[in-house]
Amino acid sequence: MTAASTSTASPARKIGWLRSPSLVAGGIISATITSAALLSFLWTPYPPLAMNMAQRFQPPSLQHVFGTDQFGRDVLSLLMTGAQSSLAVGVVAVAIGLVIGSALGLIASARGGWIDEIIMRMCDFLFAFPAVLCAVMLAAALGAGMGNAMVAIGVYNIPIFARIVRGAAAGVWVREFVLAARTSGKSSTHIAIEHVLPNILDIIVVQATISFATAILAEAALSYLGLGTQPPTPSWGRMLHESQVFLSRAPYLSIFPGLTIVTMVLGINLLGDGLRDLLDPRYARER
Amino acid sequence: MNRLLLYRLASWALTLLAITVIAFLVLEILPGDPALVLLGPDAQPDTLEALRQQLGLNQAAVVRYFEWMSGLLRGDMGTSYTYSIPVSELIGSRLKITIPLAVLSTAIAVGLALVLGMYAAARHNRVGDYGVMAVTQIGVAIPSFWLGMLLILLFSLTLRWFSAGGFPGWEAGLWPGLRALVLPAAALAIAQAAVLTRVVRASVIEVLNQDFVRTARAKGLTRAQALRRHALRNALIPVVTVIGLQFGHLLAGTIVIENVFSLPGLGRLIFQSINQRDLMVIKNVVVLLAVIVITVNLIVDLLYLVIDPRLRHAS
Repeated sequence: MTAASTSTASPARKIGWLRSPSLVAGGIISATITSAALLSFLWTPYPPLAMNMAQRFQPPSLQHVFGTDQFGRDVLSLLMTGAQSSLAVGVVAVAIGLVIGSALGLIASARGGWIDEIIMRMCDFLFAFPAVLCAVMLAAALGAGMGNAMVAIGVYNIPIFARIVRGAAAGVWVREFVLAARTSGKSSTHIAIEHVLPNILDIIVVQATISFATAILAEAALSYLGLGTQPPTPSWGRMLHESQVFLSRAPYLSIFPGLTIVTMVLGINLLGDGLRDLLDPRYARER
Repeated sequence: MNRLLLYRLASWALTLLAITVIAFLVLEILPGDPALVLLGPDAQPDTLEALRQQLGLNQAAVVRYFEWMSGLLRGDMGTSYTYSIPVSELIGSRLKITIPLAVLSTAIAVGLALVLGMYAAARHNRVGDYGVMAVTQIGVAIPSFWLGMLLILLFSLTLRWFSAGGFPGWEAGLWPGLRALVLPAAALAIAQAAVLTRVVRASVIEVLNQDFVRTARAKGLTRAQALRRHALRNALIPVVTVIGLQFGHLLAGTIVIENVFSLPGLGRLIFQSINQRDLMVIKNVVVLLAVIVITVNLIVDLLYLVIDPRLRHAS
């Protein structure tokens, strides 16, 4: 991999994604779970919320691949539908962090001076509130719910994007093409969007995948605590919470939702690693 | 050195102030009427008014904020609405579980990370290295609360080595207390250990490639000796940083893990307080947790100066 990518730079880059096992594996895992979530809008093996007391606590079988829960609901169908909540929270939370954080980072890097100082101190301050703590406050003030989980995880992501974008953008603002754009009379906002942003997009994309993975984990934890997705909407964290009472009676009820979370997070992280190697070949060589 | 110290302390104090303002705004201003939050939407108007009187909610927000602050400065956090005892007393008793849990968890994480990270660095680009890296990939992907459930399934329900949850109290003795904290601390430690292992590995690999290590090797030291005597201290700087940065996550993680193991710590207290709408408790616990996070970061900053003498003269 290393030798190939250095000696024959352009062909290696073209087929690079095939040579990166983590990119391929991560891509397949993420695509599969995302497809399952999308498919669940149209079809699930059983209606996810349909209770069937005669079929309670069925261990995994051909009829119910992952078994049934305490209400006789099909676990696979619940997991497929639950993926919707996980992905929705992940997408919105990362979007909040990415948009606000990147904007703050760009402003800080463009202006410098006291504006930069204020924005960065604000970010330090936000770091004092981990996502769970933020969600706890919002739940106490406004009641628990999926929307608050999105905001809490999103707020947690703001300083992460702000710092990364500021760091990466600082190097772009001093490049010749930015100076050229300045002399041609373009405004800072214009330059930021047209010239700086495209040059740091790869770093933002990689951070977005990493943040997406942590958002899935945070959503699961919040739903486990009852501070995220509310019943009856199925969610992975909530399923784990409900299964804990039946841990000795029906351990599979705890195993499958947990394995789904691990697989999803692992998949996204692998995708992120693969993307980073692909977009930043320097990093691949260092490893 | 002194100016640096003053700057760090001043920014710590400012952050602290900002934390109390945010907690106050989110918990007392954002919901509109805290009395309504406490009593729920079905409350009678006269009950609401009585509670507003009792809590002093009819005063201006600024006055309420300053009263809260002056109380905090005196160590008075008010009285819990549900427990009817001083919040500070409540928090004090819960900290006896949360702090040992966090410390034990950090110890497990650091221990694991040093062993695995140095092993991987020593086997750089060989099978052992790849194995450790694969394990860390899984480690960061496992939700701590699910790992906790798996540990309960294996060590409590199947092997019966530990209890599945609860806390006997430190009065029962040091060992029974620690025993109740082992599984939750382990569940909490794995994700931290995975992150730290990567940091230790990367930082040891980098240091091992530097000139002074080569000199030490040339002097006749074995790789292991060079690592122990020269490289480790230098490799520890990024490790300490990450421990500090991760501490916030760890503390937030205790909120989740204490609920998995039914440990009566700060995390369980804040969670129960949400269900009981005990704003007085939530407000103070949120501030306390955030303050612990920024204080740990301050300590880490100061530790740099101890570990790396060069930084003392840097500014």
